[in-house]
Parts: sequence; structure tokens; C-alpha cells
Amino acid sequence: MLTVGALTSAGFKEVKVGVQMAEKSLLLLSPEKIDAETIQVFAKDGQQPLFGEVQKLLDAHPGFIPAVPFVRGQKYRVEFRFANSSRSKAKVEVTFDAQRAAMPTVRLSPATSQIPANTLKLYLDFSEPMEQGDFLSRVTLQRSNGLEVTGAFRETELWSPDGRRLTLMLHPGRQKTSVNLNVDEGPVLIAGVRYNLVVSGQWRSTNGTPLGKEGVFALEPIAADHEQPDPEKWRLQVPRAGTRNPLVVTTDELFEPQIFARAVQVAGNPGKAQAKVVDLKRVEWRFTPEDPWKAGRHEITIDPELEDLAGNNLLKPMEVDLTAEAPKARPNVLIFHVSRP
Amino acid sequence: MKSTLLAAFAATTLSAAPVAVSPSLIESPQTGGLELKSLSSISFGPNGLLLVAEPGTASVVAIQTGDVGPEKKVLEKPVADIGSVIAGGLGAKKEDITIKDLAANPASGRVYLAVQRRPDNAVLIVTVDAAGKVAPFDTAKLPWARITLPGGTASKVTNITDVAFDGKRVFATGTCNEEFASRIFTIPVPLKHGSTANVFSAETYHVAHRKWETKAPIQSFIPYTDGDETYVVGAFACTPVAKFKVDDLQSGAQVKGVSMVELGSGNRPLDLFSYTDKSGKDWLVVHTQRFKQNAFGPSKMWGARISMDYLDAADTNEKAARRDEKAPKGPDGIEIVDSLFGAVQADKIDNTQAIVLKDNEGTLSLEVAALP
Repeated sequence: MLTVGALTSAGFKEVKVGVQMAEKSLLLLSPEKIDAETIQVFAKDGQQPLFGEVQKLLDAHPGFIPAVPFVRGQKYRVEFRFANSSRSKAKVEVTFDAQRAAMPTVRLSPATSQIPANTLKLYLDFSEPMEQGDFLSRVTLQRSNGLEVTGAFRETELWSPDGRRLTLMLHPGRQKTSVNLNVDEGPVLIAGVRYNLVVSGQWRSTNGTPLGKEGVFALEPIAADHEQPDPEKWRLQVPRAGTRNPLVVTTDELFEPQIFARAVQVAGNPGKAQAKVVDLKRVEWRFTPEDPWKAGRHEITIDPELEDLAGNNLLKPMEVDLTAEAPKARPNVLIFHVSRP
Repeated sequence: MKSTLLAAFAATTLSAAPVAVSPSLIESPQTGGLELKSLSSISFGPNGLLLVAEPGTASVVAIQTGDVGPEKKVLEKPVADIGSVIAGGLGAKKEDITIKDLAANPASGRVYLAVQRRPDNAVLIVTVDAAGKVAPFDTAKLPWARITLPGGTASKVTNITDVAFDGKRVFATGTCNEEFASRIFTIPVPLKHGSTANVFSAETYHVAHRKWETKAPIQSFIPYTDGDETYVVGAFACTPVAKFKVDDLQSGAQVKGVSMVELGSGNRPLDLFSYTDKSGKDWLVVHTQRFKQNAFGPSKMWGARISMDYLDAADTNEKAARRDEKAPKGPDGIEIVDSLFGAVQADKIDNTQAIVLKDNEGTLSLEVAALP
């Protein structure tokens, strides 16, 4: 609250003025009816006023609508002058209420160190929506001696709609056989070499709260994977009819579990599916039906575009050898029989 | 100083009066209430139609800006340190804003910049007029329509890499987070709020050493018409420039691109546009970031113009014309555009000049660049 000179219905007088902030508005409040001639809002040490409009707001109080919302926890300087005031501008510093924000955490998916050396995509899962636009300064790939692998990632930011999952694309030009960068600079990952994927502790959530500590994820690449996924090599554990016990599928190679869970379904059977990494290099998918299993034939359907970490899908491998026989699509339906108890 | 903000805004924003909508471009538009959730790419159609890619909602938003001239006024002098001006207007530090894209309105010459602020990822479009005045683009009274791409936010497409209008329909390209693939979307005109788009799976093959064939994701594109045939000409992450024939495709189809030119390893194409030089020759301009050590010129940000003749070349894919990234010139019909050195964003103003955002050791300036 501060006192400024203003022309009111009772003539020119000193009036008390308070500032009230919300995300998308700033109000000058006073017991007197006042007309603001100018209201300018600055970031605390800023020289340039924020983009926005001066408007009469609630109960005709003078107000300011910023072009983008005010940021919680940030200090602002409000400068204003009232109509017919002979005084210079009044200035007041305000802090927009800091929200108690949860500290973000980060996990790597798939949760394993044993990825194929020609992996194209890894995923960072954050507990909070994160700031965007500068991910390359926040993630580094390092050899175990701390030396950075330069140019490891493709400079394209792919965030999930909720801003919690970042797709980290290892540079395709280096990861794909015989493509220009692969020839000139070699692949990003070499089998048998140890690496750390390091996520900066400075990375902030959209609330401005940093991770606080580095996320360090060990990677120990294994041999490159140039094979199409083959569902016929997956192991099935089939429940008995009349139960709601889960159907369990264990793959023979690694997939990103969330993507795997979306790509695999039991035809005509609604239910809940969960997938996770087991044995560092396989995915276990457990499907629990809404209704008890019926005896007889069932089908698991798989999206033929389901990719393993190296980008091979059921239709063809990521890299096709044009001098060899053309690849054949793998079956995308697995049949299983539920027997009576 | 007696200059009220209100007066300043009346002079610089574009929504002082309701804008008439050209019925041929947006059908039953929404008026007011537009809140952009995210931004990636922006571009202009005719009559001040602004197309905004909004990846967070997997949508393309069309806005009738009403910014239609009639006089076309091009930026008179460079706007130095425009990053600080925009950051100040957003109450942020210079290092906490990203200029995601830039578009010149061919109807008025005014420049539009798509901006994102950290850490809250708030987005805003700002305009820059001929005098270099930077102002927020106020959509409060403007007609608009949002067209959601098939699958919506459940779609595997999590980034819309580019958006453009070819006079008949709107094109958008998207990158998937689950698959190493691209999608091309087409939206018929008139654009209708709440409608959806046709989608094609786009695969461009990159043939290495004439033995390995592999996919590449689309980065930037322009629609291109050759006689009666419509193509999307795209620049890809691993530097091929490829074309896709998109006539007569049914939604859901797969379309395979044909590589026409290779720009050399270690380059990331950012923007594409076409123009016709004084002699009447057509060129495709590819504006590129070199992420490897610089082999030529003063900056890792550079651009080349490619003769449009290459789009009809007989030699394609592994036989396509290939630029030697270490050479300052050649092959014939592929030339470096000197005025694009240092540009982090570029768009065509007309056949003689482009607008560029240049980065000079972390300081951004907005400038007009002459086209050869």
C-alpha cells in the first residue's frame, strides 16, 4: 500500500493505493475512485515495460492486462500516474505470489543401461511439466571419463502434450549405417563403451523450480539391432478361463514400455495393460481383462509400426540392405487359447 | 512523457476494429477468445491469413489478421538486439526466450515472430512494423479457426514442423515421438473451425553408399505446383531435398518422397522458400544450420539457392545432385546466398528480399537481406 496524489470526486487529494495481482491482471485498488493515466509494469530490473493493455477492470479500478501471464515468484516494478496529477510517477515493487511448487524429478525410459548401440530414441520422463526450447544445453552424453560426446542429439524438441515427456533423438545421421555423418564422425554410441546420460540440475519446471541435482543415467550399449521385431519370438503366459488373471507377454528384445503398451491389444477384450523393463533387455506386458477370460481362441494384435529402440518395425528394418532380399513384414497377430479351469 | 499505453497500442496493434473475413478462406470463424497454447511454425496465406502451428493441441490455427496493407512497407532499418526488446516485453531475461519462427506478411510487409518464454512456456506472437516498432499481436477481436490434426493430442505427432498454404489447401508436416517417421497433413479451404485434416505417412529414403536405404524425418517444406501436379517439396534432417506428389492421395495413404538434391553432411535445414530472380529464373532457397565444424563462410548459419530445374531432374535419390559441403560453390545451379550467413530464421518478403533474424554471438537482430 502506498500513498499518492490523485484527482478524486472530492478534488485533488492524497489517496492510499494497493496493488493486487493475478496471473492475467494487475489492479490498482483504492477506497477512492481513481483514473490512471498510465500504468507500466516492468520485470524488477527491466528497462522496457511489459507488453499489455491498460483497462478499467473490476468495479472500474484501473488495471493492466499483460500480453502473457505474470510469472509466479517474480518481482515486478509497477509505475503509474493518475489523471490530472501534478506528481511524478509513483513506483511500487511487488512480488507475484510464489506458488509452492513441487520439485521435479526425472527418469530415463526404458529404465535400463543395456540399449542397442544403434538406438535412435530415448525418453526422459519428468514428474512436472518442464521448460522448453533449450534442451540441448540441459542434456549431455558423456563417456565414463566425463568427456562429452558432441553432437549426440538431433536438435528437434519433441514434448508430449502434457510437457512431461521429452523424446531424445540420438543423432540419426550418426546412428544410421553409412549415412554421411556416420561415415565422417562415427556413431554416437559404441557397443561395450560406458556412457552417462547427464540431465542438468538447472533444468526448471514450468513453475520455475529446478531439478536441483543432476540426473545421471548409465548407458552400456550392447550390439546394434538391425532386426525387425518378431512377435512369434515373444513368450506368452496364458491364464485360465473364468479368472481375471493377467495375460503376460515377455518380449525377446527391448521396447519403450509406454509405447509398447499402446501398440499391443487383446482384440475384443477391454482391460488394463501395463508394461515394464525386465532383465534389463526385455519388456513384460501384463494385461488384466475387465471381464473374466472366456475359454477359446483369442488374438493379440500389434501395431505393425511398433518400433524397437533402433527404429525397426514389424514391416521392415530401419535400414534396408538393397543388395539383399527385400524384407518381409512380421506377423502382427498372435493367437492364444484360453483353456477351461 | 505523456504517451499512454492505450494510445501506443491503438497505433501498433491490429485489432482496433472487427475484421471482415474472406468467406473463401475461413468458414464460420470464431471471433475473439483465442488463446494460443503453444507455437512452433507460422506462415502467411493471402489477404493477411496467418497460419499458426500449435503442437500442444496438435492443431493448426488460422487467423484472419486484417493486416492487408494496401501499401506494402518493408522494414526500413535493422532492429538491433530485438531479443532484448521482446524479452523485456515478456518480462523475461533475453536468454529465457526462444524465437520459434518468423513470417513476413506478403500483404503488408509486416513481420510476425512466434516467441516462447521460459520457464513457463508461455507463447506470444509479436509484430514488427516498417519503423521497427515491436508490438504484441492482439487477437482479441480477430476471426479464427482451429483445425485439429487427426488423432488430436493422442496422435503420435508431437511436433508440427511447418505449415503453409498453396492457394488451394493448407499443408502441415509433423514429426512423431514414437516412430521415426513424418506425416503430411492437408486441410481443405475454406478452413472450418473444429474440422480435421487428411493425413499421409511420408517416408523419404536416404540411400547411403548405394546400399543402405533408411528413413529421414521432414523438417521444412513448401507446396509446389508443376503443371497440374501438386507436390510437397521438403528438406529433411539428413539434408536431402525431396519431393512428394500429393495429388489423388486418399487420407491414410503412404507417400514416398524422391530425393532431388543433397546439401552435404552436417547440415540441418531450417526454412525453405521459393522466388523468381530478375531474369525470370525460379529458385528454391534452403536456409540451413551447419552443426559440424564450419567449412566455409563466416557463420554456421547459411543458405543456398537451388535451381528449380533440379525438381524435375532425371537423376534422383542416390544419383541426386550432391553439394560438397567443403566447397564454396557448385554444382551448377546450387549457389550460396551470402546475405543468409548468420540467419537463424528467414522468410521471403518478395522476389528481391528476405527478412532474416541474425544471431551475432547471442545478440539477435532483425534485418532485410537482398536476394541475388
